[in-house]
Amino acid sequence: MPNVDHFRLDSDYPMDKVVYFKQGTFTPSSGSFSFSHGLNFTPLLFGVVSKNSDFSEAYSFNTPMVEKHTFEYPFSVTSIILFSNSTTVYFWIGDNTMAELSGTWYYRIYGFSNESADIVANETSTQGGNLILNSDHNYYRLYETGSLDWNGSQSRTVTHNLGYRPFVLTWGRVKYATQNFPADITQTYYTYNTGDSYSHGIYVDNTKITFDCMSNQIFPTTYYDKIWYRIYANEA
Amino acid sequence: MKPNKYIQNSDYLSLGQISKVSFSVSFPSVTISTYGINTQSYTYNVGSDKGSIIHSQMRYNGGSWTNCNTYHWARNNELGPPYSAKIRYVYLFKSTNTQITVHATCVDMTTGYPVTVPACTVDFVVTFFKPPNT
Repeated sequence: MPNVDHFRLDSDYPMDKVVYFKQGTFTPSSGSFSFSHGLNFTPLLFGVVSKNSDFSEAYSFNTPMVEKHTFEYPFSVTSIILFSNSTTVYFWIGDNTMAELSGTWYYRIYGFSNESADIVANETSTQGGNLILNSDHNYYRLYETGSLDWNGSQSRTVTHNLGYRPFVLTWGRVKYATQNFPADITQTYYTYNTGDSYSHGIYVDNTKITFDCMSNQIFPTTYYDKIWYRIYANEA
Repeated sequence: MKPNKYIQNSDYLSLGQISKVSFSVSFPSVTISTYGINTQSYTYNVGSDKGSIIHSQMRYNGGSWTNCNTYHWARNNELGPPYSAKIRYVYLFKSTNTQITVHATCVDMTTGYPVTVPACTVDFVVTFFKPPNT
């Protein structure tokens, strides 16, 4: 163990609870993929995908995975965006024609509760034997969770006053659905899109989280209309 | 909601940090005539578990740390005149059990006249979590 101080449990703050877990396979080249999550709430999801069953090379959802350069598209990237709503888990496949996305892929999805931390976790209780605390790992301590509306051109702040920059996770509900792209909840993945329709950013400092919307833009509006956040008592 | 009680039991899985790395990627000044691409790669050995869950944060030229990552559309005031808008930095993250590769690409999305993008430095903090149940 390189640094024993990494292993800290604090009775003031709980470790965050992963209340949903699912794994399986899908075929990105076939396009978007969805399944019912069977929960009575909308989970806040995250996870990884891999072309290898042992996940020896893995990509997080919502991050650019592969790029291509063609005459028509000098530069483009593709992500797999992970969405959830009250009934369904949905993978949006950016460009399913990219050769790198061919064949069978493997996914692992995890979820937090979107509001209460005290829900019944039927989905993960069967995995309970795998809750092993390891002193090599720093289990993040949950400081605060919440949500806020982020409509229109407003900027919002959430004050934490921790005195250091905490680790923060955020999810947003996409404001406008497009063809094959749902208006559902996903981990935030954009910072500013100037000159186009969306102009926003999410910033974290020692006292607050700023959900910023640039008022000097031609179209000052956000990509999401509601945000869920989880602030941890761990430095970013 | 502010948690006021500590409850942990084996009905839940937890998220444990394996490692955290900080590094910077510098872009030189570059003149772009049409669609410009300027790529820097960075590889860092982390020795993390297979299938690590990655969360990254970044800041541009010493500015504010952002929680949205991997796509960054530079703000006008980050680039300065004469450049106006539409430059995008994209970061490709790939994790293996031995290393992370950050492939940062600067893209000029304009189609018109040549522009010069000033040099910049992007700082990253990348956190790796052990996949629960593995």
